[in-house]
Amino acid sequence: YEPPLLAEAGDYAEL
Amino acid sequence: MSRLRADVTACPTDDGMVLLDERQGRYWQLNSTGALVVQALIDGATPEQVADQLSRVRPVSRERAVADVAALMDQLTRAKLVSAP
Repeated sequence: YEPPLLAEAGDYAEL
Repeated sequence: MSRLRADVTACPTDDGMVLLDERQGRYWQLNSTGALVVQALIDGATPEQVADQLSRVRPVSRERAVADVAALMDQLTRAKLVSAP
C-alpha cells in the first residue's frame, strides 16, 4: 500500500 | 462533491496519472494509488466509496483509507485542481 500522493511536477510550457 | 476543473486534463500514465492545469500552466503527478482515487472520483464515486474500494484492493484499513483520500482531496483543493460542485 502506497498512500495516494500528488506532486507538482513542473511547468506545462517547459514540457 | 468536488470535480476536476474544466481546464484540468487527467492523463493516465504507466505508473499513475498526470494532471495538466492549462489555466495555471503547471502539471502534477499522481502515484498509482492517487490515480486510482482520482479516476474513481472522475467516474462519480464519493470519497467514502473510494475509501471502501481502496481497502478492498490494498492492504489498508478503511479508517486509514478514508483519511488518505481526505488528505488527497485537500491537496487537490489547495492546488486548485478541483472545483466545488
